Amino acid sequence: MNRESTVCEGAPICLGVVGSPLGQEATSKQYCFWVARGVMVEETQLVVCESVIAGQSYTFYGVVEEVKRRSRKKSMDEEIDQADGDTDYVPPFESDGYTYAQVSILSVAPAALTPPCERSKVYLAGQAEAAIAYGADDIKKGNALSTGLIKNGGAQLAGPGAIDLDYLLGVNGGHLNVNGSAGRGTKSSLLMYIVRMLLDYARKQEVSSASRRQIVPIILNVKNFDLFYIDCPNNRFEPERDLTAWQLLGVERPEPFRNVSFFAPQQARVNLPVPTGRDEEVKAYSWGLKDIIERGLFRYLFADEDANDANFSALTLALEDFLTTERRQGDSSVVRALNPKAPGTFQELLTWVEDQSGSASPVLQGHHSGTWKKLWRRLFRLVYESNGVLRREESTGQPLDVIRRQTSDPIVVDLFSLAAMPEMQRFVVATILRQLVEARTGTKAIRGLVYTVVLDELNRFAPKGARDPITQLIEMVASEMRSQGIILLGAQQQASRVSEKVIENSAIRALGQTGSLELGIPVWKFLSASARERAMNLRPEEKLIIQATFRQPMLVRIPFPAWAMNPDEAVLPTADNQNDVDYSDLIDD
Amino acid sequence: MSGFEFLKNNGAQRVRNYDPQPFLLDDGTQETESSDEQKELAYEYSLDKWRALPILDCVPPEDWPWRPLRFIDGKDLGRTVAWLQTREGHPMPVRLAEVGAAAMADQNSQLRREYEAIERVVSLIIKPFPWDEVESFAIALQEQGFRLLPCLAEPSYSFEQMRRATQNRTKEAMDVLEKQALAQESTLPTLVDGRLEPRVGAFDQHTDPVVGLIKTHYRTFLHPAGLRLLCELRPGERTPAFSLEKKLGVVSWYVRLNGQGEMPDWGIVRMEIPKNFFEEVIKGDSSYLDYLSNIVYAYRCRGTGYSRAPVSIYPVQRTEESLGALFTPIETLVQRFYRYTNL
Repeated sequence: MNRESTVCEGAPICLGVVGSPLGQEATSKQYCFWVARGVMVEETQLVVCESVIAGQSYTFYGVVEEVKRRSRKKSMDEEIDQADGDTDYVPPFESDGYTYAQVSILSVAPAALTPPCERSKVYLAGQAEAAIAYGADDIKKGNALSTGLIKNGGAQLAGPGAIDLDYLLGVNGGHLNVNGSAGRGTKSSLLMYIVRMLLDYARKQEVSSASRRQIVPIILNVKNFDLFYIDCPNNRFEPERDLTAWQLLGVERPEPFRNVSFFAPQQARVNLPVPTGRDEEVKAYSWGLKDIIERGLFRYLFADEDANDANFSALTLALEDFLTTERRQGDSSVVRALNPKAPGTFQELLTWVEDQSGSASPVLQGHHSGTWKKLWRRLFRLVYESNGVLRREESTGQPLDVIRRQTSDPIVVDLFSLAAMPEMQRFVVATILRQLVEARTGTKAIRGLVYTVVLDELNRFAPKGARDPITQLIEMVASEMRSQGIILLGAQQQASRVSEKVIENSAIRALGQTGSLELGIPVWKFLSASARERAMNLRPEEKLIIQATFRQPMLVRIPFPAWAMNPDEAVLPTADNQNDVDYSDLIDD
Repeated sequence: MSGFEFLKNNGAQRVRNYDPQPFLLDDGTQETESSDEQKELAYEYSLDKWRALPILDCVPPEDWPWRPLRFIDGKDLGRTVAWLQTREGHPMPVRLAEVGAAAMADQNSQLRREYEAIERVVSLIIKPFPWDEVESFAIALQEQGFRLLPCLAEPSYSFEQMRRATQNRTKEAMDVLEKQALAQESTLPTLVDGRLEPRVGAFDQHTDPVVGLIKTHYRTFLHPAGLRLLCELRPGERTPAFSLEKKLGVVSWYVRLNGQGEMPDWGIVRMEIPKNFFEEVIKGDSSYLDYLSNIVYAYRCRGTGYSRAPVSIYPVQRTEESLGALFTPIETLVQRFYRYTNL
């Protein structure tokens, strides 16, 4: 039997009455209430309090931060004296202890920055009140995205929690950032859930609507080939346990993603992608020198430490300039091409650079031979280590093309097989973002099209303090591209290790279970002490969602994914199960 | 003319809060403690057989019908807030107080407040003042939620004596509320904090199982050997019962609840029950006294956080706390009074 349920929408349950004695005064941010006899109050429950102030009635929506129990004894001495130290002693009267709860105010209607008065009754919030508490009533019609089921105590739920798409997709803010410890499915499960809900949202919109948004999800796989199975049913999904949550969120039949495009790095010397565990439908990606130049990607080939070397970066820029010819088109756009007089492949480029480093009169003047040699070493290592993704002997490869003209099913790009080459991982991310930036700027940009880029391990791609071109590109996307329709759905274990620009530009933040050390750093200073404590003890399916308009994080439960989140969970297609998943026999009439 | 002009017209002045003089009327007015009581010490045992009676083993059966199930306490919280001067020059104190009483019921070992009554009162010796002025003052007070308690004591030049008279008057008002609380259900076994005599009228002394618990002892009733026995009582022992007769005949005895105080009579309470009830309903059965003593001993306050814990019992302490929570802080009330009266 499903133990969890939503709060029944019957008569309101009175939990207690506001008290504000000396030392526990109610404020415009929080108040305390004593709990009625025979009533249980739990941390995280949502509550409503009606209070008449200066002749006007106000409704205070809040969340229970802590529940405390107090006996009437003033010290432990008295507690032990009561029984004279005898554990078997039964006092003649029941304890007159009492329970009280501390509430953080989430919103007040009508808006007011004032505390509720003592003696105001406090009620358990239902679904409607929970929605108001987190400002769902302020969200424009059709602009709410369910982020999970709002927790209302240990086992109760208070209906779907919503975030405002204007805060996620660029009108008032953009981007989502998730923080959470590794190995608990904290981040990926939320990100994939959001992708799923965004796709549903995009497909439900009217085609003729002027404000119609189209979603193109790009998912970067950084761990094993976990996200290469999101089109397979999850063998741990139990409809009788998990289906209700989806239905409460408005998804009647949760299904794996469909028509997913999978991309993996190309193997050296052949046209096939690296083995991913999937035998088919995975396309290889790679770049030849010509591709790199045409797409303006040359500068992204070099690592952070090289970019910080002024001489080296000057040489790479000069080299890029030498390799590139530009032609301005009628619409004032610029088309790049590989200089026909320049080397045509990476192997030729290597030889050319080696020659230049030993030449008394190199083609590119003004660079020290030591810098040329450094360039050769870097290029040599890059081309040999990345053989496959960077085509040595071929001028062109199979460049990633993630540009779409309308809502599309997810595009999954593998980065995991490049784990031994962090520079190449970063390069791939840069190429994708660069493509998106180009597609979303200028006259060719398609109105309403939004690319959502799911990227875990942000600390690797935009580390804190780094000034290399890739970090700068990601920072630029985070700070400037939201309005152009590029939305980062980023994640990391420690936000403290990620560029502040990337974190601070995320209008929606989410927290899964996070360590105390991480939560102690300034980036989490905006959270209350109780929210930080809660973040330390979240269960894998629980998340704290923070939107700019929330006064306190919203605790939600993410439904169990119907799609496989790793190969072990995947129900691979066989002759018997190729039909759609059908839960109809499990749904009560 | 506003009724409050009465104060100014009679030269009213504020009085600062000061430590009250020791007041000896904690559980009854001084007059009722007068020595014209008839007492019979050899009521339960002849004087030569007086000895400490252990009550620890006298545990009443579960279904013993006389176990107190209601607990009544009152509270008189106030102070002298102003003084007037009569034409003859007598200083007349004005006492402002909040008085109240509450009954706590034992419901399956859970204490629940089942009755409470609270009043805001102003006590004043009215004899020297014209009646119409007093009446308009009373009306003005009533409009602000206060009741004037006319104190009928004779004017004197002793301010402290006058003050005590006004305090006795508010105490009387509290007694009335306590009586109301008691009368709500006096047929249920009830324990009252204090002597029974001031509550006469609120219960039937022939049939109602009412018990008084006296924590402060202003008078000694015992003979020398009895006093010696009193000092030698150990926790969980009682003295033989004796009878006292005035307006109400009671059977009384002492029980030591606590033995850890420095004073020889520390931790001793006096209990009393209506003599008629004891003789007519209980048929003078001493085990009733033992059981009651045992119950009171079991109910004793064990904590140290409550100042009167050694001589109090938990249900009475809870009644007092519960009642106290309904009171307005006295200085808040005083300031409100000053604002109304423009003093």
